[in-house]
Amino acid sequence: MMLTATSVILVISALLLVWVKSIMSSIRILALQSLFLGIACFALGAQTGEAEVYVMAVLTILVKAILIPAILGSTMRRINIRREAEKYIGRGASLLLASGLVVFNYAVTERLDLMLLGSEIRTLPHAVSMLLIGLFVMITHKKAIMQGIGLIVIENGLFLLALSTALGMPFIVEIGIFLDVLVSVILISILSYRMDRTFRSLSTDWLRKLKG
Amino acid sequence: MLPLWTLLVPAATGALCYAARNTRLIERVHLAGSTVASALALWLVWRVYEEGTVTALGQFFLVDALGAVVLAIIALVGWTASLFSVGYIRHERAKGALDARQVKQYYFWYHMFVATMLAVCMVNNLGLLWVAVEATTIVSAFLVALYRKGEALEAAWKYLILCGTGIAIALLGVILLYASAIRTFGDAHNVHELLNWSFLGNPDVRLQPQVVGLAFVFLLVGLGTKIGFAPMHFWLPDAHSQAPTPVSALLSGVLLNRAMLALIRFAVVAGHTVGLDEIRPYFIGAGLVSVLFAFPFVLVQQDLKRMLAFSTVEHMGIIAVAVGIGGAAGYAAAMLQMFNHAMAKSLLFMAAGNLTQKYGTKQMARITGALRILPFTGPAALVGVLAISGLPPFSLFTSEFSVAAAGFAEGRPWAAAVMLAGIALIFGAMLFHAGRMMFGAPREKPAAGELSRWSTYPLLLPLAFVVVFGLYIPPAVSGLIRRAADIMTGGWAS
Repeated sequence: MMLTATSVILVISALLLVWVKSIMSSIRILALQSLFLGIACFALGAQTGEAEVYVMAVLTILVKAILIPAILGSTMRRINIRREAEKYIGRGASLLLASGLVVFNYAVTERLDLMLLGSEIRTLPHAVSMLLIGLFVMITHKKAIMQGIGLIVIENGLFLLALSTALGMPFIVEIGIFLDVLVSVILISILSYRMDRTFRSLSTDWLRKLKG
Repeated sequence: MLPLWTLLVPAATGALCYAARNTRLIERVHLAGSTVASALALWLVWRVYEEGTVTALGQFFLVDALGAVVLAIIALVGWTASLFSVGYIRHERAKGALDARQVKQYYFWYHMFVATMLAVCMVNNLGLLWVAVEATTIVSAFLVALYRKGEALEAAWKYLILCGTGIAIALLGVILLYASAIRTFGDAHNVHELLNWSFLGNPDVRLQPQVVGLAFVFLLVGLGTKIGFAPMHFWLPDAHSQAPTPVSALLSGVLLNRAMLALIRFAVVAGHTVGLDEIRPYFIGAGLVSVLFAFPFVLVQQDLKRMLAFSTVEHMGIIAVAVGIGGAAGYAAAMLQMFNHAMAKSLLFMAAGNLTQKYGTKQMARITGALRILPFTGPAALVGVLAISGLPPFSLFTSEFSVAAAGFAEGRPWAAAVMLAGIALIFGAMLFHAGRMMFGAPREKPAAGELSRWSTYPLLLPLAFVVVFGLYIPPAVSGLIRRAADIMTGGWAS
């Protein structure tokens, strides 16, 4: 029940990402989203009394809600670009399209027999929604860093799904996933910074040289 | 404890390279570290051959014959590329393309890259397998972005985002698989062992067919992006052409095989539940599309390293077709093809590195008369091209012939025929390009002569494998490959 509520919040916050204008507020929404995820994880730990779930909750809040937004934010400040997220399509249209994707996804995943996986894994449709919204953010945005943000939205959705599956993947796997996410965010920041220095822009419009 | 040491040595070497003060010391540490790491990995392979599956740390590490074949590839290619790196990096440094800090970073990430790739073929837990595959992407993206030019950044960005997304989709598949395992076996087994290959790989482990089918599709698309199946391959030519050449050799010869190994493991697991016959068409389809897709791009290519990259797409396709054909013969052919391709392609990439450094360009039109200008690299590259196009008596002829033969024997003649047609077309295209580069009047500009010993001797090892394996395959190798094929047919059994 609680996980379902959390997942609805996560999907709504992901949709909000499609709507907002500035990259800084996108980063803040991302932090908030991860914070919710961490709190849900915490509550789940309280419910089950599993120590590992608590550790994951702390890690989620530390890494995803504080560290990653801090890294992304400091990159944005160093780059000092126009902070508006440029898109290929307008805000209204993209929100409409993203919501359409979500509705379509619910219509499709509803047909899966989720009872097969046990009642807990009802978060699957929400996780797939976040996957789709994440992809949508990546496709429609011009600024490189927003593609990184899309990637983390996908990651959050998958974390939620794993959480609802027997309280997450085996502990060591979760730690590995955290590490991977953290290092890829660092890499995303470094690459965005260098791209800015090289092209004087963060726009992926410049990334058009390698073809065929 | 051998697997742990095999993993720790490259990690420690990387750290030492980063800590070392001068270039000379870095090179020594680098060479010593990579030699020890490769020796340990080969020793591990030998133990798998002698004793069967090796486990360590309470089954945390598990190296079976399947992992051992891929482990042997990285031991050999990783070592050759590390030798080649010395000459290549010195040249780039002298030319001013890299500064001292970048050199340091290069050696650091090189060894981290090797460590993550070693981890892929040694971990037991399929979730950790995913983590390791993702780690290889991130670490190698640092290497692709080493030259801070625009194109290198573009390639690294595409690589990171495309493979990151692909691998995230694969994670969805892993989670579904895990959920299904818990649903089916959660009461009887320790939950933490349910993702282990030593559990899921057993032929009598049957999960829920609908869920596993869904999971496999996600895994195929996700890992397929990393393998470079067309049409998810768009990152591949960019990353391969922009990375430093020794890294291109590793990417093409080793990294993609890692992702293929992961996909094969998941396919075996899924096959036990839904039946291998359900899964085969996916492999054949992905493989044939890749082979046919690669042809026009090889034909019209102007950039040498990009052409080699598209040839890699073709060969990953051939391996996938072989896996799809299946049967003991098909699987053995797939593993053999994997090994032979790794050798031939690393040879070609290193030769291409010499050519581009000598001529100062990657444009094939401006590389002429290579046979005379580079008296060793030229002929070696020619042998490599002939081998990679599948000409006898070289090693890839043997393995491609086995794939086709298995196709006819296993009742998939159409797959084999289409694949052979694709190979024949690409054979023509590659020979066309190679002919223009090798023969023709050399321009005056570069004086004849090799760059350095570091850039020529390392080519001898893969060259030897390309030539010898066409005529004779040692029983140790064929034995290991046969056992790997057994795992693919019958699942994992302790």
